[in-house]
Amino acid sequence: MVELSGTYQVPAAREAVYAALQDPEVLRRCIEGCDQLTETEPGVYDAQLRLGLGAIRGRYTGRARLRDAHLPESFTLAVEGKGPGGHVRGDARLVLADAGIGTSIACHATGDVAGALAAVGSRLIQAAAARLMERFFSTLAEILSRPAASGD
Amino acid sequence: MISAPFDYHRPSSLAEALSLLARHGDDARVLAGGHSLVPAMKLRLAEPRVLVDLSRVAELRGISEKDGRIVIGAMTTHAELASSSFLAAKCPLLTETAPQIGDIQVRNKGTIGGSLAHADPAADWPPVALALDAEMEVAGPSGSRMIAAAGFFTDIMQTALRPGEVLRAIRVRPTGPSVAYVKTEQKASGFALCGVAVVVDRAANRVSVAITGIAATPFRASQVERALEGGPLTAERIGEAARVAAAGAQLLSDMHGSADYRAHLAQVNVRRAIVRASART
Amino acid sequence: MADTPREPYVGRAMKRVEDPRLLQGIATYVDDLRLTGTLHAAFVRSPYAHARITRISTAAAKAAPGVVGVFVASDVNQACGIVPCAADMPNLKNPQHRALADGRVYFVGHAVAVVIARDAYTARDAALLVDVDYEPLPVVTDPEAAIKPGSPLTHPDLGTNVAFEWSMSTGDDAELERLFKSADRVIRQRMVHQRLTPVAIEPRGCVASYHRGEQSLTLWTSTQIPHLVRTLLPGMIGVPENKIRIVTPEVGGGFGSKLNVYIEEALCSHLAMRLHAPVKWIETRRENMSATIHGRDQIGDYEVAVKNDGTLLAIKSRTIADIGSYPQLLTPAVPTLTGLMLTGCYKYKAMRMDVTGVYTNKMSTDAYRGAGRPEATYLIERMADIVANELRMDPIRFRQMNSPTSSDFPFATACGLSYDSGDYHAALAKARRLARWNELLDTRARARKDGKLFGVGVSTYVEICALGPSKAMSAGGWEWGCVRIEFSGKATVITGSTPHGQGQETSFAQIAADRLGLPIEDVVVLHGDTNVSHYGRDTYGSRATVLGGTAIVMCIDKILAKTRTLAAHLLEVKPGDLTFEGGRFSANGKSLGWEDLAPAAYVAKNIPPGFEPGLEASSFFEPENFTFPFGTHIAAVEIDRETGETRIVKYVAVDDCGPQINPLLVAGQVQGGIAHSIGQVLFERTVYDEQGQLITGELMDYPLPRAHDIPEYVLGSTVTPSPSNPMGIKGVGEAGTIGATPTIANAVMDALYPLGVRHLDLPLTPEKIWRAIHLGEDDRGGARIPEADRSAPRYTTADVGEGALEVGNV
Ligand SMILES: Cc1cc2nc3c(=O)[nH]c(=O)nc-3n(C[C@H](O)[C@H](O)[C@H](O)COP(=O)(O)OP(=O)(O)OC[C@H]3O[C@@H](n4cnc5c(N)ncnc54)[C@H](O)[C@@H]3O)c2cc1C
Repeated sequence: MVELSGTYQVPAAREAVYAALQDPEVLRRCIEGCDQLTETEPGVYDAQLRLGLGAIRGRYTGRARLRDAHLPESFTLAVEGKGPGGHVRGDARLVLADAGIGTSIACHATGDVAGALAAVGSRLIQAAAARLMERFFSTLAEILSRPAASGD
Repeated sequence: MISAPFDYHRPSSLAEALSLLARHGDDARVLAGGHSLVPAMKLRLAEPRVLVDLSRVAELRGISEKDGRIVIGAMTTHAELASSSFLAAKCPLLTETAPQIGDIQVRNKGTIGGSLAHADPAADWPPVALALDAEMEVAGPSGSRMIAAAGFFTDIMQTALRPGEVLRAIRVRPTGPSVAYVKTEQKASGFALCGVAVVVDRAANRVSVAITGIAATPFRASQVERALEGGPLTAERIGEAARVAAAGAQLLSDMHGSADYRAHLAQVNVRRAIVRASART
Repeated sequence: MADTPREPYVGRAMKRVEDPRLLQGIATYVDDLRLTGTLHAAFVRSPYAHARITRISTAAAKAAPGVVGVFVASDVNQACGIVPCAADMPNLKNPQHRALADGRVYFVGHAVAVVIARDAYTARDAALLVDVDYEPLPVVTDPEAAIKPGSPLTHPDLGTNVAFEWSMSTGDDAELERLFKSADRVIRQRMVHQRLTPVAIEPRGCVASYHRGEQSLTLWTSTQIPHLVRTLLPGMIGVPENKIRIVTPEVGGGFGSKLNVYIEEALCSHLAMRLHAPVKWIETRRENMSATIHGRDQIGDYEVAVKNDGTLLAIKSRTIADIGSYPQLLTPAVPTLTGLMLTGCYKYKAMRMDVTGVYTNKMSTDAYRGAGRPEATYLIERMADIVANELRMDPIRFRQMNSPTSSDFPFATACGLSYDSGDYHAALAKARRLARWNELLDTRARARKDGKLFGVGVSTYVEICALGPSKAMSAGGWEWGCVRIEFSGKATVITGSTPHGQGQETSFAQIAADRLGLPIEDVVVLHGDTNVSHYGRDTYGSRATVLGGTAIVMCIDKILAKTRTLAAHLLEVKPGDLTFEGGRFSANGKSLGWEDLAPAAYVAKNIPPGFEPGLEASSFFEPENFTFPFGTHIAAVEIDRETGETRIVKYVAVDDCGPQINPLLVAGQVQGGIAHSIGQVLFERTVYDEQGQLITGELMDYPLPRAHDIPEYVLGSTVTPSPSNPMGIKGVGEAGTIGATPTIANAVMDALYPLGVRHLDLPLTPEKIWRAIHLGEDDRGGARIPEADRSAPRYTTADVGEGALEVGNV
C-alpha cells in the first residue's frame, strides 16, 4: 500500500483554490504526464496519463470521482487507473484551510497497486506517487499565483 | 507484440540521434544495451513509441585519454570495461567493478552510459562515478555540457539529463591502485543490495566513498570521508568511520533487505572496501 | 557380432543419447511446432488476488485486426468442464475449478478471458485491449489466520477456508498418549516449509488440433503426464478417450509443475474444435511464476516424545497445508505423503498427523520435487538435531540408536509402511568417511577458536519412491511397456513413463541392449506419444526407472521365451537345449541372431505350429510395494558473522538407490536435487504481500541457485537391492532434494549453535541469520539454547561402525 501526506501552501483564497481543483484544465496541467482530462459528468473525470519514473513510464487510463465534497473545505478524489502494467486505485482526501492571504491544503492519499506494477515496480511506486503529488501542488501554486485565465 | 509497438531508428551519428530525439520529443527513448529498457518494455512498464538505437554511433564508443582525463564513451559495454588493460592500469576501480555486473550476456550488451542514465538505485556504475568524481559529458539540442557526478543522480531513476539530451561520455581522472568495489548482491537480480566504491587518494590524504543500493539514489558517504580526513588509515579509524556509513540516508526496505540490514551492510562493506583499497599500493 | 562378451551397458556411466540434440538446439519443444493455420491464444489474467468482476468489455479486442475471437467464462466454461483433482481425499470441499474465472477471481494470475488471434503477437496486444473492471474483495493470504473465526473467505460460497481435514495415526491413539505421558521429555518445535516456485526452464505450452473428419483431437503439451491427461481430458471436453492423442515433444523440465491437467490444455483443445484450426499457447515466464502450481507451503507444530537415554517414542504433527485457491491434480495428497513419512528412518513406536488444508487467495500448491517427502524429512531431521541437542547427545549417535539395522528389514514403520531393504548405518559410515569426518570436526574446532561460525550438518534420510502400488494410488500405480524386435533385428522399446530430462532413452536402452544382446545403437526408446505409447502412468515420484524399466524387462522376458521356440524350431533342437548369449540362440555349434530370427518371425513361412507371427510383447508391471531409497548427506558451512552469508564448504552425499543402471544419470539427479535444496534452504521463497500480490513474480525477485552457489559435491553410494522388483532398483529423482534440505539447514543451525539459536525457518537468508546473530531474533516457538549447553561439542569422533553392507564404489 502506498500512503502519502503533505501540506501545501497556495497563494489564493479558499474558494478560488476549490474552484481550480474542479477545473479539468487546471487538473490536467497539475498532473504530470496527463495528456488528456475531461469531465464526463459532474465530478467525474476521465484521463489519459503517462505515469512513471525515468524509463519506467507506462500509459494508463484513469477515472477520478469527486466524493464527500464539503464546499469549499474538503473533498475526496477516488482515483482508478488501468494500464498494461497493472491497476491502481486510491483515495486522496484534501482539506483546505485559510492560511494568511492564501490557503493551505492538507492532502492525505492512500492507494493500492495490482499486477506487474505491484511486483516489479514496487520500489518505484512510492517515489513516483510522491513526485506526482509534489508536482501537482507546486504547479497548482504556480497557476494560482498568476493572474487568472492566463493559460499557456 | 511482447512490448508495446514502437518505431525503431538506428542513426549512425550523434547529430542524427539528437535530431531524432528532438523530432519525437517525449515519445522517444534512447536504446543503448537494452538490458534495462527492454525488460521494462517486455513487462509493458515502459512503452516508448520510438526507440533511437545508439549502437551504430561510433563516436559514443571506446576508451581514450585526453587532457589528463580518461574519456569513456557512453556506449562502451561492461565487458569492454572489464577487459581493458589500459583501465586496469589507469583506473582500476572500473575494471574491478565491471565483472561484478550481471552475467556475461548482460556485460556484453549493457553499457556504462545506459546504466548511469537509467539511474537504477541498485546499479553498480553510479557509485563508481560518484567515488571517482566523474564528469558526465552530455550532448543536447543546444550543444554540449558537463555535469558533475555529484549533481547527476537527482532521485530514484532520475538524472540531471534533460529531455532530448544524450549522455556522450564519462570523464574520470586516473587513480592509483588504492581502490575497491565491494558488493553484496540481491540474490535474484544480482544488482547491489549494497555496493560500496572507494578511492583512496594517498597524495591528498583523502578517501572517497560512495554507496549504492540502500537509498533512492547512490550517494557519497561524506560523513565517513570526513571522519577519515587527515589521519592514517588504521583499522580502528576505518572501523569507527564506517559506523556512520548510512547516517542520514533515507533507507530502502523491501523483501530482499530491510532498512536495518541495508544500513548494516553499508557499514560492513564500507569498512571492507576501505581496508581493501588501502591495502592496495 | 563381437565374439568376446561385451561389458554390460547397465552400470556404465554413459552419456545420454538425448544430449546431442538437446545441446545442439535441434530438439523439438512444443513451441517449435508449426502447424499450418495455427491460431494463437493469449490470456487476460487478474491483477487482483480476490475481486468481483463487474464488467468485461471485449469489443476493442474483438475489433483488432487479426483477432479471431475473445472468450470469457460464459462462452467456454460449460464446454471445458471442471479441472480434475484426482487425490483421494474424503470430505474435500472442492470449489468448482473451471476454465475461466466466472464473476470472481481468486488469485493473481487467474485467467479471466482468452484471446485467439492469427499470430501470437496480435493475441498479446489484443489481450491488453480486454477491459475488465474489478471490485476488490478482502484477501486471504495467511493460512493460519484463514482458519480463525471471522476471517475473510477465499471462496465465500464454501462458507469456510478449510478445504479438508485429514488425520493418520499408528492406530491406537490411547497408546500414543500413553507414550507421550511416559516420556521423559516432550520436545516441541514449529516449522514453516515455505512456498516455492518450481521454475522449469521451459514454461508450459500446448498446441491442440482437431481433425473434423476423424473427430479426433491431438494435443501436444509440455507435460510430465500425457497418459493421465488423456485419461482426464475426456471428462472435461467431451471427446472420447480413444479419439484423443496426447504428444509430449521434448519437455524442458517439470519438477512436478507439469504433473497436472491445466485449464489452458482444456481451453486450447475446446477452441481448436470450435474454431476448426490448431490453437497454440505458450506460457510467459510471468504466467509460469503466477499460474503454474507452487510447491511446499506447510506449517507444522511438531512434538516428539523421547526418553532421556535418547530412545524415540512417538511423534505428533499438526500441519496446516496451504492449498492456494483451488486443489489441482494432487494437491490434497501432498501432505498425506508427509504423513506417510513422518517417522523417517526411525523406530518410533507411534505417530499421529493431523492436517488442515486451507484455501487462500494464492496460486494452488501441488507436488513439487519430493512432494510432501522433503517436508517430512526436513522436519524429522531437524527434530532429530533439536532432540539430540536437548539431550546433549551426539546427533549421529542419536540417529544410529534410533534407526533400524540391516537385519531389521523389511522394517515396519509406525506409519504403517514396510520399508523394503536398507543399511542406514553403512550409508552413514560411508558418508562420514568421504567427508573425512574427524578432520571436519577439527576444522570446525579450529574455526570456532578463531571466532568463526562453522557448522556441520548430517541427515539420514529415507524416501518413498516408485509411486506406487495401485492400491496406494488413485488412478493406478502400475507402469506399461512394450518391446518390439523389428524385421531388421533392431529393437524398439516403448515406455509408458514419460521422461522429460531424466535420461530414460539412455538407461532403458542400456537395460534392453544387455538383455537382448544388442549393441545399444540398435535400441531405440520411444515415449510421450499416446498413439505410440498406448498406456502409461508417466513420470513423477521417482517411479519411471523402477516401474517403467521393470515393465521393459517383463516384455523382454516374454520375447526371449517366444523367440526361443522359434530358434529351436529353426535349429531343430529342443528349446531347453538352446543357450542365449550375446544376442544369439545357440545349440550344437549352430546359432541364430536377431537378424535371422526377426525376419523369420515376420515372414512367418517357417514357424513352429501355433507360433504367432511377429516379435512384440507388452506388459504392465504392478509393484507390490513402494521402494525406500535412503542415504546420508553431510554438509559443512561457514557463516560470515558480519553479513550472515552462508557458504557451503563441503558437501557429501551417499545415496542408496539400489543397483545403478547409469551412475552418470544418478549423479545428475542427485546433483540437481541438491541444487534445489540449496535454493530452498538458503534463499528461495515465493512471496505474496497482504494484498495477495505476487511479489516474486519475476526472476529478478525470485532467486534461483546459480553456478557459483553450488559447492563441489562429493558423491558416493551404497547398494542395497530392493526385493520388490527384478532389477532391485529404487529410484533417485528426488533423493537430492529430500536428503539435502535438512542437511544444509542442520549445518547452518550447528554453526549458530554456540550463539544459542535453536531454530530458524527456511530460507536461511543472510538477513535472517544476521538478525538471529545480532538482534537475537529466532523464529516463533524456538526457545534459545540454554547458556550452559552452547559450548557442548555436539558431534564426536566416536566410531560409528561400518554397517553390515559391503559398500559400493564412490
Ligand atoms: C539479468 C540482468 C542482470 C543485471 N545485473 C546488473 C548488476 O548486477 N549491476 C548493474 O549495475 N546492472 C545490472 N543490470 C543492468 C545492466 O547493467 C544494464 O545494461 C544497464 O543498467 C543499462 O544499460 P544499457 O546499455 O543496457 O541501457 P538501456 O537498457 O538501453 O537503457 C537504459 C535507459 O538509459 C537510457 N539511456 C541509455 N543510454 C543512454 C545515453 N547514452 N544517454 C541518455 N540516455 C541513455 C535509455 O533511454 C533507457 O532509459 C542487469 C541487467 C540484467 C538484464
